[in-house]
Amino acid sequence: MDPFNAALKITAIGMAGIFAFMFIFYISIRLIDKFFPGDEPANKQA
Amino acid sequence: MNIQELLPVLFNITWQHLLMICVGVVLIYLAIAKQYEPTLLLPMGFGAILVNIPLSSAITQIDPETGKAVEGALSVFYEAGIANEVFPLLIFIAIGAMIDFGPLFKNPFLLLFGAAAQFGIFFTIIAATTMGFDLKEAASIGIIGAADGPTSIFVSSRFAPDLLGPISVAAYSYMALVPIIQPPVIRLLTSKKERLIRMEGHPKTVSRTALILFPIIVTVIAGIVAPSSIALIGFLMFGNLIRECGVLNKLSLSAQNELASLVTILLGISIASTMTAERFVRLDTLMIIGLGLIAFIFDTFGGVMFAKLVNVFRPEGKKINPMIGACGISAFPMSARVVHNMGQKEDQYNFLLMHAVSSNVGGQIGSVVAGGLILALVPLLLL
Repeated sequence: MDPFNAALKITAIGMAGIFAFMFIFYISIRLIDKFFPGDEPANKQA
Repeated sequence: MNIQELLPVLFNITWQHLLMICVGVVLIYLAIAKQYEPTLLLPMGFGAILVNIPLSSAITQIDPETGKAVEGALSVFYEAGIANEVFPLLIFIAIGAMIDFGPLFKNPFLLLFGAAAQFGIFFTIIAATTMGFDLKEAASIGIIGAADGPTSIFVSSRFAPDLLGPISVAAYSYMALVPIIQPPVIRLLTSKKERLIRMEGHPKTVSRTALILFPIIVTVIAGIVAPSSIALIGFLMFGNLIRECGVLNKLSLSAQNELASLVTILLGISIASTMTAERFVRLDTLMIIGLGLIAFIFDTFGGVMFAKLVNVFRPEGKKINPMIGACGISAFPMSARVVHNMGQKEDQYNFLLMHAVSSNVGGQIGSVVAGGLILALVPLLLL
């Protein structure tokens, strides 16, 4: 594959991949925060 | 014995060597006088002087009498720490120990700007291929747009070790120039009305358990989806786990201070071993410096335009200040400060800092993810 076409493919897959990763991390944060909210007893150690 | 035998350097020095010594002096000047990323630019500048004095014993030379290689310390450091990617990974542990992911939990949606603002990487990869670079070189140049020195070093040491010197210089120089590069691009892309948008705060506490679980979950997800990214993301998250676990404060402080300082010295001066006149004084170097600037401009473009797109679907009162999008790069906390200051210039009662920091932390994750994806994708497309 010529480099230009390969670069276009990397751009399409790469940007989609980063958004997919970040979306998964976003969902993870929401879930973690739901199950372990900020006022949980775990903070008592601090 | 004649003068040529007494002072062989004088008879071997070329204008390219002198130019590189000047480059070294300029880097040292920028590091000291302008304080542009001094921790890296100063060792790189001094290293550039060390390796460009002809017959320098700092780098490996071929003995003309025996024909055997005489190892130089900087070449040994390079092989021991950069060629095998150990130094950048150690730096990731240190960076991980410095990052507080707490702001992301306050407004996790801003994590997505850490994806949008990586656009400059990919735009630059395309631009570099049109300028004659092959795919591996283009990917290494594009990663300058990660605005993340260790990621740039990690990717380019694997894909284009010959370009490591100019790529590192460009990456660290432009990171220092974020306050100069980003504001005009942001102003060009946004209206005054958009820059005046206020965002409500999210005052909440984040549990320690959440902060401990986050690096573990991110590592597992990244490992499952893109195993080749695991070293990059995993070392960053390992450093962060040391910070957040609460029982390794001594190690966390060591990672943030001693480890970061020691490896930074070795990293900077080892990169300089690639900054020889033969490798650096080429048209490619100027092209890489230009492409690096394009990468930073289009990172800002990607972040701001994504914010504007999101605002189309958001009701009045819930809109995002598009300047926040520009913070989705890894230059932390500089980019967040730049946007906060721009917001305050427009409206002194508009406090964007907290949101800008969240977006900026998202950029720190996004840049590493981008590096990991590029490491995974490029070999697949070269098959």
